[in-house]
Amino acid sequence: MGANRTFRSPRCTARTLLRQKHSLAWDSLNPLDNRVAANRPVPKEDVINGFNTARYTHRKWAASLDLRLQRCGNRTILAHSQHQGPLRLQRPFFPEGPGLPHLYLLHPPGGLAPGDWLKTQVHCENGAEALVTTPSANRVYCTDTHGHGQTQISELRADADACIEWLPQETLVFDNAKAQLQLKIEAQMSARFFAWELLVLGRTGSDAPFERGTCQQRIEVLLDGLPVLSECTHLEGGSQLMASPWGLDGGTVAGIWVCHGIPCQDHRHWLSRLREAAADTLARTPEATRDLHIAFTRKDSLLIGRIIGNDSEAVRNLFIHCWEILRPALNGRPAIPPRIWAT
Amino acid sequence: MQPLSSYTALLRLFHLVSPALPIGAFAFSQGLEWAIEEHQQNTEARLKNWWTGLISEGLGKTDAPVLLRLHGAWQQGDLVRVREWNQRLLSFRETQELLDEDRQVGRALAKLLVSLDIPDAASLLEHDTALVTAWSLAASTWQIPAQTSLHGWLWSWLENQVVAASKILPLPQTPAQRLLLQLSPVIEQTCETAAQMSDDQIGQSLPGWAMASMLHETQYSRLFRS
Repeated sequence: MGANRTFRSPRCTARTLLRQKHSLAWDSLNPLDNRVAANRPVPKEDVINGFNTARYTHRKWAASLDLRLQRCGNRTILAHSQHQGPLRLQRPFFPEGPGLPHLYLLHPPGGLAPGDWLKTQVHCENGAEALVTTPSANRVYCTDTHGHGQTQISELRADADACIEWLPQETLVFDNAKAQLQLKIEAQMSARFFAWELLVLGRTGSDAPFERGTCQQRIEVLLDGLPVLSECTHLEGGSQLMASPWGLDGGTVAGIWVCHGIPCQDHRHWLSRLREAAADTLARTPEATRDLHIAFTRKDSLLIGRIIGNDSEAVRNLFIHCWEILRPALNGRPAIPPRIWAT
Repeated sequence: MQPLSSYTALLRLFHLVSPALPIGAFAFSQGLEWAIEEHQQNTEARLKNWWTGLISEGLGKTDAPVLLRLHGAWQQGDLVRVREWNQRLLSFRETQELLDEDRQVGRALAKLLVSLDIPDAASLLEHDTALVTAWSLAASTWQIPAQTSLHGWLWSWLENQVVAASKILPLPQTPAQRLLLQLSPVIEQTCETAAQMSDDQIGQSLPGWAMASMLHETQYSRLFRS
């Protein structure tokens, strides 16, 4: 065990300091802000599944899943898998051969109740490749009378030449939820990834729009230890940000995908492919895609897509289409949608 | 360092906020061109709402609190902290347009400060520099208090946007001047809020603004750069 560990030399360069500082800044977000509970007496049994729950909230259900993948010849193997609480990994599928497992994350409760705290870590070591998804939409239910929040943290790590595809199904945030959703991607420059997050606010097409509560989403990308993308969206139900043209403009579905690893000199080509495909889809299905805005950009090595709409199905299909277009450039494979999406 | 008189600091602030400052900020519209032409943000009331949102919810939660921190870091000569917040600012930029503008204008100001013999400015040319990073260095060197320089920075941002709207719409002089006056309290409120933010509250993306900036990159006919 100890022999496998690698230690970085403690060079005290500005860059090292910068890296340490940034990781500290991130960690400080971890005891997520359920201050309501902090003033209340703390129960003795404050450690559940190894987490000091009392720091965060009075009521807390912690669950975690820690996965590490390794490259062995032409195979990617699951070298380490550890779970605590109700967060599991289904047995890996290999529909594309032994090099790239499809991993399904399972959360049997099917949604986050007040006090739930979920953390998933996926680490692809040098050269390992994996596609990660979930069998169904994630739900964040409304908070309880004590104002307990729900937290979901996902951390992806891609070492040299590794490739992670992070394609979870959408997260439905119910009215009066108190959600904290974080995605952190730490990759080496030579790694590749495609990751998306899709948010559905309130139950679409129903009488329960997102009018109360909060949803804080953070997406952070670090390349070689430096932050290159920080998306923080602090949404409050019924706020100006929900309704105004500079915010969601009345949209209830919002998504972003980020892709790294496609050579910069090809970005122009792929951006025009994406734009053509999106325009084509919008023209073909005017009904489903009414009030839908999709746009693409780049940020140095990153390609980014954003979408705002009202129809979660249309939004998801467009995102899948973007992934299908980019995948051959990302990892040289045609897009094979995970079987679970069809069920 | 010799203390400057408060009038000298005031004159330096005028220098910094002047539209004549040769840093090229006029070349970009930050998505405004798309918002006006393709998204109907084309009346005085809508522009007021657009800018109120961008200032209070967007800049007020990203650049504004970071400017105050950078000002402090420059004063303490803490270059590690300067680089760290500078990198964080660049990571907040949602689109190519916003990132390119920030880096180009930031670099232009850094070069100007080098030519005005401001020590430390040369260090900014070694890396990508956000405008606020160079701005806060100038303010700190010229002894403009942090809050005053923040008011100035937001003012010059707004003035720049109003000038852009005047070209795109065109927006007549009177409503343009009225908007500048009406949005002044928003700037004041935003500066006050920014001073009270903790590090982990910093950061807010405005989806509609990001979308406008992204779509501007492919807008058919453009006065402004993307």
